[in-house]
Amino acid sequence: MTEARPHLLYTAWSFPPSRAGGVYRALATVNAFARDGWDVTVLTVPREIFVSSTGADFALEDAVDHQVTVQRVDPDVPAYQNDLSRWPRSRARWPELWKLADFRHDMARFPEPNYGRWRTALESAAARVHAARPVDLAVGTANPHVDFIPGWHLHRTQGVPYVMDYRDAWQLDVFSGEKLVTAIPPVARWERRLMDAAHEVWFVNEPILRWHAERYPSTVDRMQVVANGFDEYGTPLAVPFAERAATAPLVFGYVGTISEKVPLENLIAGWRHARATVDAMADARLVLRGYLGHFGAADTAMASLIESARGDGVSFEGPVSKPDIAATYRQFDALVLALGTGRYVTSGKVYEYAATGLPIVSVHDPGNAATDVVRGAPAWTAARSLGAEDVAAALEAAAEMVRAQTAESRRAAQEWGAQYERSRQLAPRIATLRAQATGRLSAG
Amino acid sequence: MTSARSLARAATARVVDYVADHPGSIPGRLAALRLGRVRPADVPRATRPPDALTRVYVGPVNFAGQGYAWARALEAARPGVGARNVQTVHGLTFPADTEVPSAVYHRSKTWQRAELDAASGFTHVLIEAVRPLFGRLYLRDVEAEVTALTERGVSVALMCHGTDVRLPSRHRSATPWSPYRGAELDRDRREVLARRNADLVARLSRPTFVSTPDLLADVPSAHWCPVVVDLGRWSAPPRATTSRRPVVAHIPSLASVKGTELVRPALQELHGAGEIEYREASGVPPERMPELWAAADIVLDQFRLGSYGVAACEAMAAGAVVVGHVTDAVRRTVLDETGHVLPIVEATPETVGAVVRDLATDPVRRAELAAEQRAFVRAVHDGRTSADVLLRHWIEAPSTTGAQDETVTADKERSVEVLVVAPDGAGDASGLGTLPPGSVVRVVAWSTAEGDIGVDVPSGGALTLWRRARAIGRKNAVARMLVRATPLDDGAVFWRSARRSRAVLEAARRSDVIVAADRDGVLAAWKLGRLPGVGAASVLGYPAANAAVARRSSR
Repeated sequence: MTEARPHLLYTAWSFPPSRAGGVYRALATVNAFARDGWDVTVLTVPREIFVSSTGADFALEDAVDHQVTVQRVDPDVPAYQNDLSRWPRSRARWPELWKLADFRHDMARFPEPNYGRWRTALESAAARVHAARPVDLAVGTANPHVDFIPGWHLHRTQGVPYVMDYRDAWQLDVFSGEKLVTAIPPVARWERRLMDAAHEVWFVNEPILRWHAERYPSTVDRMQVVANGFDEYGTPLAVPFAERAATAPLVFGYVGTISEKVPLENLIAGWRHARATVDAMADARLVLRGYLGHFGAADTAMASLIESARGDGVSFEGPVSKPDIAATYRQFDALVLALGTGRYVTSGKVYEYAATGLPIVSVHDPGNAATDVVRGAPAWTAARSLGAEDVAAALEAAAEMVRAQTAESRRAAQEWGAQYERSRQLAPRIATLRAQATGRLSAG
Repeated sequence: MTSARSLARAATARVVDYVADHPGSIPGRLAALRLGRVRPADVPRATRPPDALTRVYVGPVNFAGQGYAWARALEAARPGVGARNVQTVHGLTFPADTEVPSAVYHRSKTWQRAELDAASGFTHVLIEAVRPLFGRLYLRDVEAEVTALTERGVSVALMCHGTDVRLPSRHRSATPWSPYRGAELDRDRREVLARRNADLVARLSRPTFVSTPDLLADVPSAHWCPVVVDLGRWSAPPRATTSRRPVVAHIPSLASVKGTELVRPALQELHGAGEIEYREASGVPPERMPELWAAADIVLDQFRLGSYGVAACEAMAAGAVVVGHVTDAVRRTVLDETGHVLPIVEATPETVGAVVRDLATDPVRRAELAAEQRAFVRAVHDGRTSADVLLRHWIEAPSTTGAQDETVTADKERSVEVLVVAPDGAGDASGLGTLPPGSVVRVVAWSTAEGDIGVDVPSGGALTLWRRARAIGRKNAVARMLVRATPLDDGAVFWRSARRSRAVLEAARRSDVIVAADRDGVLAAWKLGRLPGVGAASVLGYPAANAAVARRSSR
């Protein structure tokens, strides 16, 4: 007897070829469900949005399981219209006022600037998908939070259970710990409404879960931590150990989006200090790989800062596609974990770093949630503060770890890091959801 | 009386011909009105170029769904090729990427201009049946359209379909049953049109293709690009080999050209004798054809042109035995071009009765022929051969005939000029990806910032006022918004200064892409993009600039 395949409807604005940070969680989730025997339909936005606005990584499209069906639903959002010939003069002259006035198209539908207007199209698309092949479970990954709408809509109209997957938070600024200015009353009302009916609510770490649990106590029993974990694309992330010449210059690497939240200035100041004061660091290099900022237009200050440190062995070598990421890590002796401040911030790269087995040096607020992840790593050190001297001391400690690391201790670090493989984070949830969906299918 | 009627018909024909040949004349313009009013809601979105390095546009007729089929075949053949087809809708319609109502095609300047812009975003354009792509935008002058597209860096090729280039005077000697041997009223008109189109094809000297092998006699420089059928769609179960009366179907698209009246008596005789069941139909909608072919044991294709086309291939794909008149010359061409013998059973109007009777009594032979014909369609007409012909002789041709093609090859790597509008300087514009060799990037910035073209900062009282406004704007977000609403907004001030710079205006005219690197560069980039003589794409941000550069440089 053939077991019926449950049908998952997954909604993610950021889906390949998007290169946004959140895309890897979406990609890994749909692939994990597909591998588990689900028929997966994804609702996302047209590729042009990524190509001409936020940037695209086409190699990621090849990583989508070939059994996943992708439906692209046009959100018709002016914020992603970068062809100036299509702008009215009023928008070119008063872009902020025009944008404010344009937000009415969002707020009337869903309280999320730029994205709220997608709700109508998403509801229609979800209904079409369900009519063609009944949906057994809907998962939406935020942000944007309008991604929760297809699940909520199908639950309301057809009783389909849905999962809300938060990569960040809707009302909490994960960097400052304060409420976001955009957390207006309609947002609170919608979040409560969505939480009340959700089958499960996923968060990326315990601090964010706790923050929400305090506000939505009636949903606590359905809240789960589904950490990000790391993905591997062909080549394993574990960096093989190789004896290095004692005189070879050390190469520190940073891999990830270099957003304005990354304490780049502190890192570079500490780096200069280390080069000037630590013998082993005198000829060391710091290689930055990733995108400069989330958008292409406003990152000149960061570019200038990096350029100014060229003489100190700092270089920016551009973004690296995920399929090439393993090869990139192999070029480094140690990794710099530079993150924005905030006890709710984990970031996905911490898991990748852990998988490599290379010594890791944390350059971020010690209260950051990422510290909880790397604290147990066999080869980890952290700056006590973001002051130049403390950062330099941490870099020096990392240099010592590189010198001291053996094949055995590298392997131990990799074995420890393997616990953060992404599918291991998803597996318990998918197993539970599958059992429930299969139970419903059998009952139906 | 008869002569008076003939004279009247001839006069009417001359008027019709005049109108057709002079679309810009007053009668021509008046005639266009009969196509109906265009409501804004009827105007479809212009065809959006796909995200692919090689972007192929096929239009505007989609006869028998072939434009769509060639587009899909190209996409299947190469991962880096994206193709879209356009179909003008009147009468029968087939699947198409873009459908344009006839009235819109002929009369909507908005659509015509938008579609020209859209087609210019493709790297290659295949014009079907020597028909204009943009209605009356160039007064239906295909040559003018080819020039316009070529000037925009697009590589253009032609696909001849049939009557557009088939010369009646030549065809009369190709086969004794040529439809042009009679004295049809429009025979001379067809001669004029075919000759005119053949002359145009020769003059344009573009890669040219024909959809059926017989047309190589009319356009010897062309390449045969076989028609494509979807084997899955037409697949049908094998016919029974029992001794029941076989069903013989004849469904001509145009009875006078297919020779229906020449074969009907023989078939009706066999039908009357109970040897076959003869089914004849016309005007059948495309979606019903699979079931009709699936129900037929034998299909009579055509008996006048001496060739074969889409219908014969569909019937063969459906497992029916196809019978028709195909000249030796055409059969030779098929063998030479593909290495396969054309398995269509030969029959002329004189022999069709005997041929069908033989087949009717031999179900085993029919089964063998059906298998042979299906294998032939799979080998020659499943799209792979067609895509290969288009790629080899046009899209991927390193150099074919004539100087134009050298331009095309060079254009594929064409350098570009990018103008970055960044009032506060854009560093090294590192957000721009790798540009084609020889490309130029110029940064327009305030003369006090880092850039290639400096814009003079306001002086005197204007400078004082602007500085004060900036100081106010720095206080808080509300103040900044208020200042930005005034003429002292940084972007507005920058544009007012930039427009006085001859160097800026000249650079804009030379550029392929103008990119606003930040918020304060938006107004200037928007304005520059709209200046007379500026043909650049005007965009915000480097990702959009990179996409625009890719489009321009790969044309």
